[in-house]
Amino acid sequence: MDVIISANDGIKRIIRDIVLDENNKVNLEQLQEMVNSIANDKGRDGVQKI
Amino acid sequence: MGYKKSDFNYVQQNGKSYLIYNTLYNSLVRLSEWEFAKFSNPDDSEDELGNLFVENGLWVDDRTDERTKYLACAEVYTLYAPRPLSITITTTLRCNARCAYCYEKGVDQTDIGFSAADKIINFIKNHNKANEVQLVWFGGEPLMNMSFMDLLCSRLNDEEIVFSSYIISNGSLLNKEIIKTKFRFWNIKNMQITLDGTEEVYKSIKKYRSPEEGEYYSILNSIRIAAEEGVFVNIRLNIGRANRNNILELVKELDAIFYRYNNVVFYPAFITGEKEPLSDEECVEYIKQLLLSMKNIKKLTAGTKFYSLPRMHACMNGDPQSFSIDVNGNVYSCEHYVGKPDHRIGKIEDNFNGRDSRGMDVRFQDECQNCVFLPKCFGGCEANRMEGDIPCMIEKYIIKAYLQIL
Repeated sequence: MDVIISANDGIKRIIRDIVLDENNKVNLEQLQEMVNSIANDKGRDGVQKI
Repeated sequence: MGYKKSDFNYVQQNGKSYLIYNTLYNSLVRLSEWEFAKFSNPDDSEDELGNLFVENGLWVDDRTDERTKYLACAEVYTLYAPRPLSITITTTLRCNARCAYCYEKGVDQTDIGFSAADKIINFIKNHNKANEVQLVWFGGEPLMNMSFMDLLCSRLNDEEIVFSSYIISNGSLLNKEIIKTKFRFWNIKNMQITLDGTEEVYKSIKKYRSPEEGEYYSILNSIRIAAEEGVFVNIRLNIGRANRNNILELVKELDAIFYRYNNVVFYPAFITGEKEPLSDEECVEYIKQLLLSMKNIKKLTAGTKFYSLPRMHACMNGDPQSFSIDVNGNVYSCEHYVGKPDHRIGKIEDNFNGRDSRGMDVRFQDECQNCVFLPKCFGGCEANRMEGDIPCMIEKYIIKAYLQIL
């Protein structure tokens, strides 16, 4: 398997870890914390080939 | 733990290999036939290949409802995340061009009045949650009413409101002096100029009311000057059945001129409202030709489409922090409708806080709800859909075309 672009870990973490309430809604603060982690996700730079 | 395939894997078979692009996590991998066979049948074996599928989001925990989680995140972000207010201002509905595809046909061709400036300032103060406003200068041809642009920017400065702006123009009224002086005053960071063909085709499509000799090359020169001044320039290429071959010529011409300008990119868009619109397959095939004809494919922002974060709303129409104001003080959710008050969501004097339902409980058409490209376009252009045109955004075509030649 040739990985041309690796997954954005921040988005992956959000989808994996964010908690849905009984109405399928999420909490803004929890999301904001996770979004900040995407902004700091600098590990992707080395794997961009396109 | 059990796994399933992600809802957002797009598969492109090229010969004996398979490219898998995940539109939510932005991962892209190439698989051999036997790797693809394993990918197609997720299991819970923790071998190296299975782990790589999980690491790259191609397989996910089989209890995860990715689509529901993504849409829930999009909703809370769209409704509550602090970000700059975006206001599209129609400085005038007059235009010096008469493009056949224009969607503003029949609107009253007038300017916005000077009295609107204070009303816009009040509107910004009432709706701004982030002490910053992004302006989009729109028309007609917005540069046909530069005095209003001057006035509003002066008022914004007086009120110490932080702003930056983007202009959507045909570029025909631009010159060196405007770019070097006015652009700074208007704080223009981005500009969109439409070119629909090489010189002769361009002139026949634009049908300027008072055409001037050398106008086409003057626009190219203005794009160069703006780029050298640090403005990011999107050259919009409106593509239809009639001009599609000529656009390929245009792109070669532009590629040669702007090859070294990283801040000049090409933005292809398929014209809507045509009697015989291009089919999905024709659009993908066309973008492929476009990509293959370019020396520097980064100019087509292909890379950006692959790396872009998932959309939280399709466009301004789904964003309660974005408004479009026309010359008569009508407020719209979409710039497509300026000058058509039947479509307004209110007036400039109104307060939309708490009564704007955009972004709330978004519902999609079935074909969008289940589409693998949902994170790239979020249902696409509602105005196009309402008018019976294809709502899909260009991302889908660029990604599909690029994967076919990768």
